Amino acid sequence: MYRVVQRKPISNRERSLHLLIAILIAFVIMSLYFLILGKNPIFIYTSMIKGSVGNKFRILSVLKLFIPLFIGGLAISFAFKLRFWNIGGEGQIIFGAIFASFFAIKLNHLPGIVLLPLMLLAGIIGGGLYASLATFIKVKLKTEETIVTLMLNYIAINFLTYLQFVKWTDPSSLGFPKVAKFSKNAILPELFGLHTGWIIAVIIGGICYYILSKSRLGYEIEVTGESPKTAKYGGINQTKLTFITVFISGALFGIVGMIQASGVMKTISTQITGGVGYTAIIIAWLAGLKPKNVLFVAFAFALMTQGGKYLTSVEPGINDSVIVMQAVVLLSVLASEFFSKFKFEKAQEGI
Amino acid sequence: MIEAYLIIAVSYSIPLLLATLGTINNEKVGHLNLGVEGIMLMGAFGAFAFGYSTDSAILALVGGMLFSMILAGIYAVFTITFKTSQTVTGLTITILGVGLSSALGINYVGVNFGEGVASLAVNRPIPLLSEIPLIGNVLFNQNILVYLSLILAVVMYILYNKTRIGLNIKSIGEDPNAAEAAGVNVTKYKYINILLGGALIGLGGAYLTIILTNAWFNNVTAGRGWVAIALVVFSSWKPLRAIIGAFIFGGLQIVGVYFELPFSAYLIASLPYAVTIIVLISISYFSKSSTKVPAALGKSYFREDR
Repeated sequence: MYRVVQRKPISNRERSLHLLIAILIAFVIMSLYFLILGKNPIFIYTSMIKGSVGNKFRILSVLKLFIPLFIGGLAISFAFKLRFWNIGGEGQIIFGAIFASFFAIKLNHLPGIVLLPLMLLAGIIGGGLYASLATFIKVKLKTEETIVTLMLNYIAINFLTYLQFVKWTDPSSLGFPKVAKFSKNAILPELFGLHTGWIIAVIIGGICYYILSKSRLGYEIEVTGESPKTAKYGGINQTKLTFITVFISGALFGIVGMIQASGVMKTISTQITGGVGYTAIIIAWLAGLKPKNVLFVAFAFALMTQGGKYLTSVEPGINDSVIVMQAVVLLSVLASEFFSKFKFEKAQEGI
Repeated sequence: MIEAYLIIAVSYSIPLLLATLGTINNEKVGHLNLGVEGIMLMGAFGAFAFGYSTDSAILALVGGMLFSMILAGIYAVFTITFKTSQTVTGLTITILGVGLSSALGINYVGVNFGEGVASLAVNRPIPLLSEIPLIGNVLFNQNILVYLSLILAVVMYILYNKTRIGLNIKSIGEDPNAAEAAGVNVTKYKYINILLGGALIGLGGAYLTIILTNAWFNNVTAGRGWVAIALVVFSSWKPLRAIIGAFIFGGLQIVGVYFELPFSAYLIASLPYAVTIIVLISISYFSKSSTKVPAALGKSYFREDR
């Protein structure tokens, strides 16, 4: 019998080596997978690279995919650092988008300079309040948040379906259930070929980095997440801290909703989240909940996704295999975390 | 009209019931598996792949269970042996299942089964019982998988509540260290439960392709795996209550097709999830001492050095 024992902490260099090996293993597995499907793996990898960084247009597409993943990853980092398992990103994105779209639709006579900030604020409040519902249920009603936030996703998506199919359906779409395209002043303008959501992302990245690593709030989140007892003796008001932190997490997702509605879809539909609420969890986890790492991991995800999108155009039907590739890379990296922290040791009989 | 609706509602509840039973298996040993949706999809695809190529009803079911057990096995190795985060691993398994089933099934979308597999969908009335007015047709004039699923729920109830094995499983969900100290092989139990749970979830997926669609479609589960996770809470981790829960959820899924509703079916679709939250709150808020949530749910287990 073998048993698992803790390893001495390894150096950063050794950890990086483990990561590299993990990614290599993932590519070996994927190469075998592609060979079994009768595809040439080399062609697939080179196409993906070409498809993600091959020209200016494709790089812009990568950045467009990167923005929601980055902000979402930050959102999860806040909640998870506090050990608040917010699986409800999808719902928070949806409510951020719904609140923002409400103003885009109802106040479309306002000039963009007024309307867009209003929509951003609405997104923050929509996502933040929806997340706060889970905080309330946890703090005041003592109910664990994981399943609650998951359920809130479904309530949100059904509500949005209702809006799209019944309440907000564009009457001029001849019965096709979709919401009318936003008017021009409700759409984020472009700068350097990319919707200005990127400026919001840069500012948010800076603020989050500051809050999490330099501010008192970040320190309190860190302490409380690691040991609620220590936090209690340190005089931290945990109820208030949970409300604030989870509100921030939801608000960041709400901003994602606003950006995707206003900058990318230019309307609202049930496709608004693109699964970011879930992908963000994986990104934040791989990044060790550190804003700087979230930047890189989110970018890697965006590259892979865009590579996959391009691949479909040269190799029809391969897009789903790129999803498989992401999962395999993830599993390898997860496994490598284990091998960095533990090792197998032969157990002596009788222990 | 009502009878026709109830007959279909029962059939629609079966994939949910099977997936819920499987998820209960997972959660009883402390594993909150967010990979259910992916595992169920692989079950649906496995059933199609085996059933389509062999046209054997039995092999279709075996294929469904086999494919889902492979995914459940990966989840088990990672969360039990590698001690990875259950949330992250589960989500990854869902991604893997969605991607893999769509990638492998790409040339078969909309393709039907042969007659051999379709024979599973034939209703087989149970003598005498099926002649009871209303209930007879709803409960006892269904396909064979309906009966099988209901029996499975009863078997699980007996297993958990009347046997030594059930007691051991429960103790693992509450406190794995105490269970280990009492001589229970925690790791073995966890592996077996998660694998068998995976097989049940896969059977739920198989029901979808074999009975409800009779063909392969991308994302044929359409979120049912996630519903199952809700249903586990809704039924308070009790197999028999899962029957009722699955029937309510399954019935609500198609209520809009059969009845003129006073308000939008899209809003009604939210109802089961809201009810689940309320159930969850009432479990943890009102019952003071003995909550039914497995206390060790979601936590990695480290065997303490002795």
